[in-house]
Amino acid sequence: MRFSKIFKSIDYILLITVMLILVVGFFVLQSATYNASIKYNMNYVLRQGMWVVVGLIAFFSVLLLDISKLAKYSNYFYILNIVLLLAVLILGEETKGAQAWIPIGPFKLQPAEIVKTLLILGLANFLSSRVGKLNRLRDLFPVFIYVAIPLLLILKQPDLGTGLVYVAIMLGMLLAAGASPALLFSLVAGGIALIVLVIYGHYTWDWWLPLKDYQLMRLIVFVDPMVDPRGWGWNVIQSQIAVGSGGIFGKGWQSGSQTKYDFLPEQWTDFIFSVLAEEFGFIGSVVLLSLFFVLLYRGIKIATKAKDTYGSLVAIGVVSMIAFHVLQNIGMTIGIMPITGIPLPFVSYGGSSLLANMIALGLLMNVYVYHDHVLF
Amino acid sequence: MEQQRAKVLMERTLRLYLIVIILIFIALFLRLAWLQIIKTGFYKTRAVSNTMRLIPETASRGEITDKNGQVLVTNRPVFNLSLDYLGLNDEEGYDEIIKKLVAILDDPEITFDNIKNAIKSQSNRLFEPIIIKRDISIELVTAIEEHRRELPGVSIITQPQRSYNYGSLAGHLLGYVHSITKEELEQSGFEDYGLGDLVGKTGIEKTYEHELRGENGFRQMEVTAKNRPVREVREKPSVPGNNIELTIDLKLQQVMEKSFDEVLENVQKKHPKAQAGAAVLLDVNTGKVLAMASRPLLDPDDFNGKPLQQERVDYYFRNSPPALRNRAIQGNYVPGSTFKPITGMAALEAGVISPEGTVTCSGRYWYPPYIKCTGVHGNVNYYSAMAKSCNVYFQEVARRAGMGLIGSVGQEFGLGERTGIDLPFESSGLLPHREWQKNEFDLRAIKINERFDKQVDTLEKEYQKKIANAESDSEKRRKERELTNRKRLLEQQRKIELDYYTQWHDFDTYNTGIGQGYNQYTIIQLANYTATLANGGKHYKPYTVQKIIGPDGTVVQDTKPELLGTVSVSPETITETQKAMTAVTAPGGTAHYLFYKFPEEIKVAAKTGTAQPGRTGYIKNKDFDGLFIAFAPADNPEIAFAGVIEHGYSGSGSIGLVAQAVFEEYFGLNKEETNITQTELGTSSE
Repeated sequence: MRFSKIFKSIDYILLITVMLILVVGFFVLQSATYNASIKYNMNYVLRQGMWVVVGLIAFFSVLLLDISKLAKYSNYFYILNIVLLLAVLILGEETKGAQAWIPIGPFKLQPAEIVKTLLILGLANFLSSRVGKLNRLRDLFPVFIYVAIPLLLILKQPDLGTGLVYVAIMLGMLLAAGASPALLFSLVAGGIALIVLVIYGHYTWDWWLPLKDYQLMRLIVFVDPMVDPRGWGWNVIQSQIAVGSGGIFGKGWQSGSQTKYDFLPEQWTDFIFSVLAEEFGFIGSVVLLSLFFVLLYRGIKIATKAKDTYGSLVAIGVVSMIAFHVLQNIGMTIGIMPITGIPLPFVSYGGSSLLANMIALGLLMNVYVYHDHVLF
Repeated sequence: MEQQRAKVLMERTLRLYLIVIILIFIALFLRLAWLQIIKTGFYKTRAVSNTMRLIPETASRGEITDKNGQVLVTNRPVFNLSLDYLGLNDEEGYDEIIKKLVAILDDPEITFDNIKNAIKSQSNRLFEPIIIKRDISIELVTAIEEHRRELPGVSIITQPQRSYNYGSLAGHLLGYVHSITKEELEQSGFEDYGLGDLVGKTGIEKTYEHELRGENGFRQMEVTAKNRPVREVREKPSVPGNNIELTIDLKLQQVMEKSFDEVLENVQKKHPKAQAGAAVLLDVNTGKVLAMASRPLLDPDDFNGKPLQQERVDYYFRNSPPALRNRAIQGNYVPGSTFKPITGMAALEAGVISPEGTVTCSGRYWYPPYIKCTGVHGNVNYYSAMAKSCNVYFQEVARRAGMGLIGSVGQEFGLGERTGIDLPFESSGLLPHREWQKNEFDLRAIKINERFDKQVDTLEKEYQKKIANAESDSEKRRKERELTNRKRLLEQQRKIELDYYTQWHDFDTYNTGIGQGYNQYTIIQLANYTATLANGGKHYKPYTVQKIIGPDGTVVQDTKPELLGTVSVSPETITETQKAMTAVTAPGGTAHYLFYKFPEEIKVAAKTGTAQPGRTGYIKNKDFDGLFIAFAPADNPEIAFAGVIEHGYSGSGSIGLVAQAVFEEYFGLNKEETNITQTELGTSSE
């Protein structure tokens, strides 16, 4: 399709919302990197800007071709997904205990970000023929197995955060595809109960646990950060101090003491929301939340308008992914989710994440642009 | 068709999906509102305390000078090695740094465990620097600066520390400072002290702690998470403590100390047990302490910010005699003959003797227990008896005057009561006056009765059993008789003990009259009684601090002499007693040889004393304390002296020499003497 036509049929509310989130992100990033110890550093903002440009190119590229036409190649996406994950395991560079990066020339690619999108594309096709036939637990097993294969490879890295995103995407898409909400809810509740039991068992009866120590500590300090206030609990505590001390109006741009004096950990990636909350207060936080809500609301609208179930499911996959990122990332900074290192979409610093999200946004927009049969 | 059905279904499920998303956002919204609106005050405080550090700034402690402004105690800057706990976050890294630090310091006192303990003991105040070692050498400062990069969190803090310009001079009087203890922290008046703060422990440093300390200031710093200071927010400068001007005269003190050491050394040649003693010089017209010394020495610098070595701990706290004690105010000494003027005054007041009236001394008193005299003195009157220290005379005089009067005269002169001097831990001594006797004897009677009651009780129980088990009536009766006999025996013993121990016997009065028996006084009491006698009966409170001067030079306090009372003893009695004491330094007196060189216008009145303390470590009739009291000039007294050398054997041969040296210095007589000595030396070398 020609660009002129694409521009005419784009959902501008969605695009402008994302642009606004990006603008907010730049301001916060500037503040997060204007730091007492690393001094004034334009580098981060510039690099992020460069990635926005790359992301926009990717976004528009995705719009060139009707995604529904790619549905028949879904198995290839699925295989590509698995190949990428295997590549990470074999070639990956270890950082912070996980093999998450593949060095490509001067860049480091984080496949974890892009594989989420690949899962959405694959799973949308896998589910589209099963819509309405997912009422029994038995019906869900094939879906579980389909997701489990890449999921296990991710957990092998280990990348618990991305693993959880996989589960969230699957649950969101299953819900949209008509799986019994009660069934899904029991599965989630049962899963959480199982995790609690296993951890309890680990401490009481010394059960084996498929978690690394640091992952376990994150869960423990989520329950009680004061167990280790200077160690594992530090992030939880300091982040909430940053958010809470922001108050209604915030301390002002570049004036957050928690941010400026390094009390906030990972402040330009995982804990960037705390920076925003400290400096722009409750008002700033609610503005960003609202922007995300508009984004997700438009995404769900697009899913309802999609010309076929495949498109709907792709849209819902993207919405689920972003929604979970927002819940998990903001949730951990305010102490209602345990800490797992996943970024806040369009705000956290990081090229791979931004590129992957722009591509995902492209997919969503693609569903919208091609929803009307009449146009084509 | 299939597609259509799916689409309808999905429209419904997507509505549900939207609700889930809305719920998620409501949860986030509510939590944000909780943190940022409702609990924001709490978190704002946390954020501020995160970045704000109060860095205490110790106030410079006040200086202590002598009466002429000669500085005795001042402060010097020292380098303290400290650790900043927040310098690192993780425990393991910290251990590494401590290990490195220990290696660099290479000091046997500073081990890994010691440092860890220091950190632990300060666990609730970790934002404050933890002092690892005080007063490190400049070489060590350089070494640590060189390793700066490897030792994050290690810093060197400059702090003022006490500096004693004359070493151990007047060490007991000045006292020492040391880290405050937990018990002291809990006392009222110490609310603004922190663990690790220094506090005066003894002497002037303790009494005037709150004057000397000043007010600590602080700097408020904004710091990063790594505890690096960013900027200073606020500062409250410290206010130095007040300076203290003593009544002590440096020159006199130096002479007293020097002479004391020389005399001790000499006495030790004959009496190696002579290790301890004390001396006080008072201004008789005010109560000012002009000099005060105690042996064994206390060097306040030993306690200055460093842990005491075991050897020093023994020396100050455990040894007998322990050096820590200021014997001038804390030691209770049997006064021996230095008490005789009191006995004499009591008798004169009672009118039972006249100064000229004689008593015949045949070497032994004629009443039991026939206490031996120092010699055979023949007919002695008040003057010659005082001069020769005749025991017979003063026993007879004591007998005539009676214990009641002796006790009340002693009390009037301040014996057996704390003088109220501005130094801590003063002892009260013991004057066996009537009131004391009653209390003491009642107490003893209770103890004796308790003991015998118990014995009777056990006896009765024992026999009850025996009588109950008796096989025949005759055996029973025999046992009953046995019991009655044994009880009677016990009651007899009880009566004997009560008679002996709970009554004042005549010989107690004789003993008291010559300064033995129950008598026990501190040197400051003896000195003050001598001063009161010298000035005609005005009983002043002795004091050591003349002025308290603010850091800006304003006089905060100028001590006025405090008259506690005037004795009721008649001026004639006092004059006669002064005269009698002057006879002690006249030819034939026990202290003649000490002062015969003194010019006519500076006569010295004195009394020597040789006491049998009967304490542990003293062999009866072999080991004596040497005591000495004196005032001068005899006709217009200015100064009074009292002193003791434990195991000094005789008063004039030991502590009297110290009095001689101090008096010579006070009246400027020693200068001529040194000139003479030099001339003599010159002559002999020719």
